Amino acid sequence: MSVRTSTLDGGVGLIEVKGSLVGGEETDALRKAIAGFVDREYSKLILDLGGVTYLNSTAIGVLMQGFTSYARRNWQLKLCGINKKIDSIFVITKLTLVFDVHDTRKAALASFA
Amino acid sequence: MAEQALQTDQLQVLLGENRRLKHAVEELSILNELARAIGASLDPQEIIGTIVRKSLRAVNAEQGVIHLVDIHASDPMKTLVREMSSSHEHEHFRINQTLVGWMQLNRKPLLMNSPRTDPRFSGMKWDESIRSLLCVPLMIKSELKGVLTVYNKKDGLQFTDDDQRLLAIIAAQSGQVIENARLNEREKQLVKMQEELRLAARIQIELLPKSAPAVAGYDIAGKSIPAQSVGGDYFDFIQIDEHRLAFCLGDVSGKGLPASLLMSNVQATLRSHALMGLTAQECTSRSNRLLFQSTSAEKFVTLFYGILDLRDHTLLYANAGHEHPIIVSAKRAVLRLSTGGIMLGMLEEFPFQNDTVALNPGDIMVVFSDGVTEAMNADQAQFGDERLQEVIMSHEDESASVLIESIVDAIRSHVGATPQMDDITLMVVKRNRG
Repeated sequence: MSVRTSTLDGGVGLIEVKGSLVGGEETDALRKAIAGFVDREYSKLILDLGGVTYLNSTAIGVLMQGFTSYARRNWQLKLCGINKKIDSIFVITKLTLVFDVHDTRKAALASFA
Repeated sequence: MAEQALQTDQLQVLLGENRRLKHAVEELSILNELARAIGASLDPQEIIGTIVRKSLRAVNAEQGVIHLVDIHASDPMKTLVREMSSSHEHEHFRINQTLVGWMQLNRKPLLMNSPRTDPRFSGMKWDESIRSLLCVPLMIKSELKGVLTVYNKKDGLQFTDDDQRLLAIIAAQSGQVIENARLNEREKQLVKMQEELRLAARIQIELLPKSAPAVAGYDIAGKSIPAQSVGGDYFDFIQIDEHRLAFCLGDVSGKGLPASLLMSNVQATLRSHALMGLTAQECTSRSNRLLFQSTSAEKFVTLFYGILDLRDHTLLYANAGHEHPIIVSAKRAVLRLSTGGIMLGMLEEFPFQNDTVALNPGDIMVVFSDGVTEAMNADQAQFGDERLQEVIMSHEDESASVLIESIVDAIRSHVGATPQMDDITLMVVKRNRG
């Protein structure tokens, strides 16, 4: 499990998450990574979940907290790389209706207005 | 003459030697008594009381106190045991932070026979009746755990280096006992917390339906197995009127006591809405709004809410981010109830929808929490939807409650020795054949 942060051209923040998000230290790391970009006023953020194999309700809570942090400021948060393993969670919870979801990081990056 | 002087000198030496030996014997006897007293009792408070009393006797002081040092507590100094050497009323002296700070830094005995003029504590305000004090640290593995302080040497005398040495030995002997007392207190707190948790678990069990309602033409059952002593899953049956019965099964994000408190809140909200005769969609939307207003975005609830109408055997349902229930028909066709929206409490407004499904003779509807399908074995393989469907099909002739037990057994045999990570909750509604 790892949470890696970096920045892309155009003032876009990137968080790459790998492994299983089950509400432990790794979920805390994701929460802190999102809060870090909010603190540094990155108004555009991509969450690449390409390497995520499982996420539980606590992890969804963290994603949702990130969503509200960004929406409240009229900033943009995009998700990408939702693979087969976690697809059903997004379908059941209808989070695809809440988040701006893209297949690839490139598509997410291109979607920023 | 010279011989007489020599004899006098020798006598003096012998007398001095005798005094020292007597003193050493007294010290040894005090330490021996102390060791015996420590070994004789299991009650930490009693043992510590003995330590303080023996210390007072050992150095001939008026008052003695043991304080525990807990740098993490709101009050870092806690008076553990205070003893007076006489029935005479004394003021209770308070050890102050400056003294504790000095002890933290120096970790060695402190002897003061005139505290008011002591340069190490200039400017410090002393209780008026403190004439002298002797203070020794209680250490465990080089950590300061407490402070033993004795005040005012009796008969107007001053504390000596011998007093200091003896009190330091007593402190060294007593450190572990003090630590045991601290651990004992912690254990008491833990026992109290566990008792409260047990009570919360009992309240929660009381809130879940004890039995399923008896409905003509149907066989209904529900069960919830929390992963911890209290859980975040819940299910409920609500008789709206003589024709309609509401079912709900929900999963609160997180686990343990916080999740269970939120769960109780959701249950109360849904019960009151259900009895108002609202549709599934209205009930879900209103509960969503209430939950959104009272929780952070991180806290949410997945919910399946269905209303079974016994007149036409239809189920009106709404789903807020919950696992899609399964209906297996008499002809073994599998239907998933997939209409739904996001979880409750995430967005203030969301267009939840009603959907209707007919329950035909022989249909088995299984509503479940993700603890069922996501139960993982040692190889990280989930129990999954397919296994669940297989178990339903292979037990289609069993009663609703036996079917639930069969599913639970199948989950247990799948996960093996892997501990249960999430609450497992199931509700089965079977319409009788023909």
